[in-house]
Amino acid sequence: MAPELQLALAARAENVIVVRQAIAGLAETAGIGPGRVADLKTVVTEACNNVVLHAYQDGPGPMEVDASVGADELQLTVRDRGEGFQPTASAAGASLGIGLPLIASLSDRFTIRGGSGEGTSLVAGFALAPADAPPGETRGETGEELRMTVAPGRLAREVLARVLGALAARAEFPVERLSDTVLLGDAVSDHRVADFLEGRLALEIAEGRGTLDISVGPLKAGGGERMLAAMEIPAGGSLRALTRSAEVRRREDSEYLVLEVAAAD
Amino acid sequence: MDRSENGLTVVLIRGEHDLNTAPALRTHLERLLTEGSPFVVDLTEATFIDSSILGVILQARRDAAASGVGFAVAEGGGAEAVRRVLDVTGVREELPVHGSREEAASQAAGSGSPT
Repeated sequence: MAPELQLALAARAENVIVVRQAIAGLAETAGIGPGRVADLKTVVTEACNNVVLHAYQDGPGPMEVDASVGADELQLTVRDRGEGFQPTASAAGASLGIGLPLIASLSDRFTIRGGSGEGTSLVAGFALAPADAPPGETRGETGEELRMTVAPGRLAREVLARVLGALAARAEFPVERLSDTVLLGDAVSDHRVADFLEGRLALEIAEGRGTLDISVGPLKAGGGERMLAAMEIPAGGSLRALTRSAEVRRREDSEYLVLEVAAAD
Repeated sequence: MDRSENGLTVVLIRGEHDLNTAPALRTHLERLLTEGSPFVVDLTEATFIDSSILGVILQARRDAAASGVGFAVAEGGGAEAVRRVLDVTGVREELPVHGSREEAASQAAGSGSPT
């Protein structure tokens, strides 16, 4: 079963809410009820906390989160590439060792795999009432930027809106800028998937000082211009006006549409 | 966000709180403990808390008991994620958690040792 959603981002405390929002978006889109969504949010948060607190000793490394929705189970995997898992209270007393018992109590099954030098994976399963599996997938590399790929449609729209909303809120965007950013995300997720090189919506988001750089791609040749053209509003005006800059760039033989949004002009 | 009522401070925890906001909450509660006035941690408007927030609240309870400062927690049956975490960890009984801000306030006002 290919993951519906894959996220990769730096293992930092401020990134946990981004993962939580993305997973909540996936679960709600899949028609999962509020109680189960609440449990999922807690489990993914506690699993990410373990990565942030325990996986890396010399600054934050990568934190990777996959989620797959099957006919009867949602499977969540939280992975790091650290030295090994230490399920103990941190020196700062931040976790108190409640995290793992919470994961055990709120999931229907969970396992921890890994060893020294190969990183650790925590896999948790949540039994579901039969529901339609959403069509999506997100995938990531690593680094300080967030990378995701997701199949087009409602899932892409929901997950991207939540991720952009969380990042824009964290960058202290005023409310109208935050909704502008989500609107741009909607335009990206509504764009025809044929313009994406991998047949899936793919993008990276890098945070600057009060700005977000959204690199949409890799795209097929001309895909960036077509996406910009699709942002023109028939009655006049353009969603481009919501960005500080919007330009097509080439990188590693691929095309990207880079949208810069800022908290202020 | 705090509100003071008759010498009692209500620490209102609003929205989502986790590892990222726990240090600021810890610092804030430690300051209230140093001041020595009774306080209520009000979770009625919280939509999400994780184990690091629970850890800060539990530590505050221990410190308050040790120094005779009135302390109580309120949770008004709001967000599912908050309710579940309090239930599953057993913290609801351990703290204990009161069903309303008013109930917690009267507990906090009466629970400190008179100085």
